[in-house]
Amino acid sequence: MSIAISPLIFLTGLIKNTIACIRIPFKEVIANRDLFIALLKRDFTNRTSGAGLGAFWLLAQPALQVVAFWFLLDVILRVRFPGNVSFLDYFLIGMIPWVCLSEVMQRSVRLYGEFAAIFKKTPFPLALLPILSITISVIIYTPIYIGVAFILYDWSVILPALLVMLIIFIWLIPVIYLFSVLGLFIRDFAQVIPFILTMSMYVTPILYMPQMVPEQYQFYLAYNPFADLIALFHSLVEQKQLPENAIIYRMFFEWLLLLAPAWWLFNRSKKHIREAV
Amino acid sequence: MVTIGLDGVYKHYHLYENNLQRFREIITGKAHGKLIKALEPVSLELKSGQVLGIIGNNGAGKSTLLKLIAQTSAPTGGNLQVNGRVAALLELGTGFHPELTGHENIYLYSSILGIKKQTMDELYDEVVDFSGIGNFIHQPVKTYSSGMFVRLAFSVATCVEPDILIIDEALSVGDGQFARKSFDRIMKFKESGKTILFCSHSMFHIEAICDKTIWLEKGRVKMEGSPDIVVNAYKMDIKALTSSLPELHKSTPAPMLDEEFHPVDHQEKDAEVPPNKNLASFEKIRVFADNEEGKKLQIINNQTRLSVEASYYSDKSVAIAQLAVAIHDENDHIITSVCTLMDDVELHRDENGLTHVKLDYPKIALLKGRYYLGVYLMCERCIMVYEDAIRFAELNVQQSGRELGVVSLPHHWS
Repeated sequence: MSIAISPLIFLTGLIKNTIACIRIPFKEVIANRDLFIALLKRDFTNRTSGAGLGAFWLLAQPALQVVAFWFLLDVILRVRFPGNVSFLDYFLIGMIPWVCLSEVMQRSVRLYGEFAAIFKKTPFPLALLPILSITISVIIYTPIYIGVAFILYDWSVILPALLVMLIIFIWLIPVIYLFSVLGLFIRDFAQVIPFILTMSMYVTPILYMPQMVPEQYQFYLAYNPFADLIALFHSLVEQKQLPENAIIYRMFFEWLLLLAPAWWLFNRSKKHIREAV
Repeated sequence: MVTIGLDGVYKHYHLYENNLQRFREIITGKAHGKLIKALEPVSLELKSGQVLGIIGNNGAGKSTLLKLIAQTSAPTGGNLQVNGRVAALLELGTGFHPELTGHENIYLYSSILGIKKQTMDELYDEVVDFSGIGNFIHQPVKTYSSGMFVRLAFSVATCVEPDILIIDEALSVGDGQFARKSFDRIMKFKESGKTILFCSHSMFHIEAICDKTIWLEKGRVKMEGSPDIVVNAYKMDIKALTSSLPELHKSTPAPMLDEEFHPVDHQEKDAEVPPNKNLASFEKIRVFADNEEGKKLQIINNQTRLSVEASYYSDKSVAIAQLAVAIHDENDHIITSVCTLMDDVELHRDENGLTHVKLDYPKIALLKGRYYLGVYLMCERCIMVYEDAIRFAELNVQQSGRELGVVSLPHHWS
C-alpha cells in the first residue's frame, strides 16, 4: 500500500480535524439540545431507577470506593506522606477526579453498543454520544468534588475545583471520541481498557505522592499523561497555582495532537457504526 | 414542491465477518469484504402529496431505499435531497429504548426527529390517546406487547406532523379499531398533501393507495410508473397472478371447506371482547346454486344462478362495511370479483348494526373446473379487510360444450 499524500494536504487535514474535534461536538449539542437534555435525564434515571435508595447510589458508589482505599492505606497500612501532608486530603483531591475520568473512559469503549437501540434505525446524531457520556459524569462528580474540597479546605478552593472538572471535560473530548470508536471495532481494546485503567491508577500518583516514587523511576512519570493531570489537579486545588511549565506544555500538546486523529477516525467510522453494533 | 429528490443515489457496502475487518477498511480506505450492491443508482423525484409504492421481492433493495431516505443509512454515492421532517416506521419500535417508559420514549423519539420539547408537550396527550396505551405509558416499553409497541411507534411518528412518512410493511398496525384508526390517519396524510413512501408485499394496498410505483429487482429499478401498470407487470413476472385479497388476510385462519364456518353471535361476543374491537364481522353467509344451498355446489355453465346472501354486523362508530365476493381458481388466482362499493350498492344497517346483502350471478359464465368462492368484509373505501371467509364455498362447474379456458364471455359472430 502506497501512501502518497502531499505535506500540504496532510497539514490542512490535520488542522481541519483538530478544529472539528472541538467545534462539532458542541455544535451538535446546541443543534440537538432537547435531545441532549432528554438523554441526560434518561441517564440519571437509568443510574438510579430500580434502586430503593435512588439518587443515593450516584454518590454512594464512588464514595464507598474512596472509603475503602482510605481504610486500607490510612487506617490499616498507616501510610505517612512526607512534609506532614494529610493522606486523606491528598488522596481525595486526586482520587475523585480519577474516578470520574476512569468512569467515562471505561464506559466509552461500550458506548455505541449501549445506545444501539436508540440510534441504529433513526437519524440520531452519532457525534452526540461521546460528549453526552463526558457531560453526565462531569455533572455528577462536580458537586461531589467541590463539596469535598470545601470540607477539606475552605471556600477559596471552589473555583479551582470547578476548573479541575472543566479540564477533565475538555481533556476527555478527543480521548472519548477515540475510545468509543476503537472499543466498538476492536473487541480486544474494549477488553483491555478496564485492566489498563486499574493499572494506571497504581502507576499514577493518586494513592501516593510523586515525591515517594523512587528517584530512578521519577523519569517515567513524564510519560504518564495521568500523572500530569493529577499533578495539575493537586497544584490547582492545594496550592491554587499552575504546576511547572513542563507539565502544562506536555499535557497541552498531548491533548492537541490527539484531537486530529480522534476526529479523523470518528468521521471515517460514522457510516460504519450503525452496521457494526 | 419537491420533497424527495434522488439523483443517481446508490448504496454499496462490504460484508465483513467481524468488526476488526471493518476497521481495516476505515483505516486504509480499502474494502476487503464481499461487495454487496444493495441499491444501484436510482433517480427519482417526489412532490408533496405523492404516495410512492415500492414493490419487489425480498432483498430487492426496498428497505435500503427507505433507509437512505429516512437518513439512517448513508448513500455510497449520488445526490440525495430530503426536504422536510421524515418520520419512518421502518421496523418494530424503531428508536425506542426498552428500559425507558412509553412517556420517556415519546420525548426521546420526538427529540431525535428534531421536535422541540414544548411542541411535544402540546402533542403528548394526542399521542397517548391515539396509541390507546392508557396507563401503560408509565411502564418501561420492554413490558409492552408487540401490538402496544407498534401502536405507540405509529402514534408518535404520525402525531408529530412529518412532511414525509415512510411505512415499511406496517399498514396493518395492531388489530381491530387501531388498524382502522391508523389506516384513516394514513389516508388523511395523503389527503393533506404529505409525501408517503410505502413499501409492501400487498399489491392490493399498493394499487389502492399509491399514485406512483417503483419495482425494484436485485437493487435496480426494473419499472416505474402508475401502480396498475407496474403491479401488473410485477405479477406477470412472478409468474403467478397472485390473488390480492387473500394476502390481506393475516389474523384469523381462513375457514376452509372441511371446517365449519361459525359466524359469531354478537351478543355473546360483545360480552367477551371490548366494544368496537371487531369493527365488522359476519353473522351469516349462505350460498345457493339455483335454490339449493350448500358449501359444495354443482354449477352448469351459463345456466345455473349463483347467489350469495350475507348478513353482517358493523360497528356504528364506522361507516357500513362493504362486501366483496371473489371467485378463485384452485391456485387462489382471482377469476373475478365484485364489490358493493364499486357497484354503488346502497347499504342499510338496522338498529342492531346488521346489514343484509344479496348478490346474484344470473347465469354463471365459468367454464368447467373447480372454483372457490370467498367473501370479504371491507372498510368503506374497500382497502382494509375487517373479516374474510376464504374458500367459503366450492363450485364444481360443468359444461356441455368443449370450450377451453375459465370463463365464457358474452359474444356474437357475424
